[in-house]
Amino acid sequence: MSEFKLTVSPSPHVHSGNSLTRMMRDFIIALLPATIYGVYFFGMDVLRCVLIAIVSAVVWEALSQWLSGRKLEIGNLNTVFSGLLLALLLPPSLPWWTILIGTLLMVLLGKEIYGGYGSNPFNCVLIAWVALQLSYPDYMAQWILPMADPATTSTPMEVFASQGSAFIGEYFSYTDLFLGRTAGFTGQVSALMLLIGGSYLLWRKTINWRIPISYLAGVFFFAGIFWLLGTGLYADPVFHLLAGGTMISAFFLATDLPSSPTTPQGMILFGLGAGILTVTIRTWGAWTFGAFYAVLIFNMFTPFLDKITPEVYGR
Amino acid sequence: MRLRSFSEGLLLPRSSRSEPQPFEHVPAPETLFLPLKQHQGAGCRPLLKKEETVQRGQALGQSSETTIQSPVTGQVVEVDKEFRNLYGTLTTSLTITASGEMEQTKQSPAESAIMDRILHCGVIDSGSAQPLLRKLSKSQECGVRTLIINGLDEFFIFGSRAALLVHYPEQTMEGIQILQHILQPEVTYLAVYEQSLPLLREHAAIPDSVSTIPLRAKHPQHKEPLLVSALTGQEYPLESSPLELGIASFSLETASTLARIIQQNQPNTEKPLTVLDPEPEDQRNLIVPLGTPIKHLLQYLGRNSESVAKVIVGGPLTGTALSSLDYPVTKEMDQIHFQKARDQIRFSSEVCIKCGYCVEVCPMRLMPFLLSGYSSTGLVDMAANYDIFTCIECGCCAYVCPVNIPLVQWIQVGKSRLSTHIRNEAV
Ligand code: SF4
Ligand code: SF4
Repeated sequence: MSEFKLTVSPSPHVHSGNSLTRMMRDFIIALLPATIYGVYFFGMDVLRCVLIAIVSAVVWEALSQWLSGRKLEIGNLNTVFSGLLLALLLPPSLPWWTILIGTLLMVLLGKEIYGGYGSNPFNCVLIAWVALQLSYPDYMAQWILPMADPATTSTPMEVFASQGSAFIGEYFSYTDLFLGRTAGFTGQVSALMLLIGGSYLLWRKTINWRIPISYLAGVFFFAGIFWLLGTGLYADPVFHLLAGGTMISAFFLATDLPSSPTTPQGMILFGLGAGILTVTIRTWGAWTFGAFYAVLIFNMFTPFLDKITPEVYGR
Repeated sequence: MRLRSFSEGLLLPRSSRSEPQPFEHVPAPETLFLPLKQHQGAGCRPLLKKEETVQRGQALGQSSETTIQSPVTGQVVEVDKEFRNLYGTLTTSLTITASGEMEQTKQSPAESAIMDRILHCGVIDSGSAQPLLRKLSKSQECGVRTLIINGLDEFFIFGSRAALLVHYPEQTMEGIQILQHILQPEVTYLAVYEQSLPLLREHAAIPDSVSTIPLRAKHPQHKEPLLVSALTGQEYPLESSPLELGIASFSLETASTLARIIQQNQPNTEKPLTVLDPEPEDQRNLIVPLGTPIKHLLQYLGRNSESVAKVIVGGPLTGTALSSLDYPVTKEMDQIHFQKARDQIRFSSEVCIKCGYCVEVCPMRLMPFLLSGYSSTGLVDMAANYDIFTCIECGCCAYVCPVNIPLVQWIQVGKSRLSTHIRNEAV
């Protein structure tokens, strides 16, 4: 027999070259425009927040994997991305220790207790965000708006909630919302920067178009119906698209891989449902953060949505 | 015109050429190995003993459905009863040394019944590896309204099937007409990749009774279920057969072989192959005598066998890896890929991240990550609920998986566990 050693392995024998690391790198790159804009607009506080979040998240994850005797997986950049994303949802002036608590909860409660990234039923970033929101509501509502009078240091959504839609126009123009000249967390201020990042993800095919597009469609059309029914009472659909973190929800939170559905039909229903719920919570609920709660709530529907499988060939 | 296709799957890599390479004829080596089972079904009975002489075209082994003929004139030097074939089954294999003479056994005259010639030349339908005799008689029983000639190569736009069409057009068309004559279909489709269509118009005189259908170059369009649905719009449950819809599909290579054995009165002892040459990473189309060891092929290509880390028989997404370079070329092979160490992929044991890429790409519209997950955790009944047996093992899912889960392997495990289950319950 031949003296040369041949490899014997199951098919297939070629691979697309795609990897979790590559995907996470794409996500991080896609968040860079918004991050850089945030630093430019809000100042160094944002950078501080981002660095603390990323470093602490990676440390927590390494610690937890080391303690539980599992393979170290920080190399796949997943935690770096989650840390960055969480930082963009926080008020830039948040005290450092609050950020540490946030990332600890994100790593431990968000994914490690389920056995690591992939097995987590909820978006880990949103888990941490909700925990902080409930525990430190005051810190979580300290918005700053550089270069402006104090009257407008409410987020556009807060204005909408407290004063009604008629006042939105007095405070913010759509150009402000689109380009990001309002108060709020970094991840909501510039719809444009997030759209650039989101388009990059779509172009790289890192995320499936079905979730973000159906989410945005859900927000737009549901808000549109009510706006047409009662002008003046309800905010118009463009406002809903541009403000309150709709964009970051659509491209970065709802598309979280483990907690979103896997089938084409499931993705569409998930997006539409979360979009409608977003507008519902904003319009009739007590929270201004409809976009985040809606995604988190729809994470719970993912197992059911995954039951809607495509029709098998020949069945 | 909108090209017919299916919505999932993978686009084939673009070809750097504008037409298929012409075939090169590989000369027969001194020593050939001929396993007596190169098809699906029972192996052939050996007809010769050690040290007997043999003429080119003489039967080495025969069964009720097929025959293995000798590609050379020479002598049987060994009868190996414990030869392990591609799929791990034991079979008999004859080793033959060529004497260099070209003497040939007398073939029965071409007018003798076509079915007899098919039996005596041991034609198998390449692609399905079924003995052609069996496939034809089943098709005749059921009645064929639609005849499909599969001119699609796996993974390559211009592989050996495209080369047969472009470089041996008359032979191929004659073969298609023989199939039409046997089966008397109402319509005959010739399926080719769209890139071959202009070449066909230029080189081949396609009879009026054959409609040529261009298809998008996607993997796994060449597999029967997807071919049938692309051409006829009909789907069938995989445990039945397209024959129930009056549809039969044959490989284009089968047609060309038929013409060779019937019109040209040749024995069926060579095999058109597409080979991926490792060094310039180039594809070549070869005609190789059956029984030629792979090592000899490498020598013919002028390549060092040490640079080869893996030999894949069949396409890179579905093929089987060989354990030895001594393995011979058999009738089941359509392609051979030589892979270097650095091109090998590595599977992982990491957890599924539920990205859904595999669901999106599965041409059979299955849930690959669930099939693999249930199979790996032993919940095979759940895998059966998700139609695991409809998986055609095309490899698309594992190709796109970002965490390199060996999905196809787990699905195979699940299928075999389920089959044992079913068999045990039947006892
Ligand atoms: S599950 Fe089977 S049919 Fe579907 S992509 Fe994977 S190998 Fe192909
Ligand atoms: S492609 Fe891989 S990681 Fe993604 S859902 Fe399928 S099996 Fe899971």
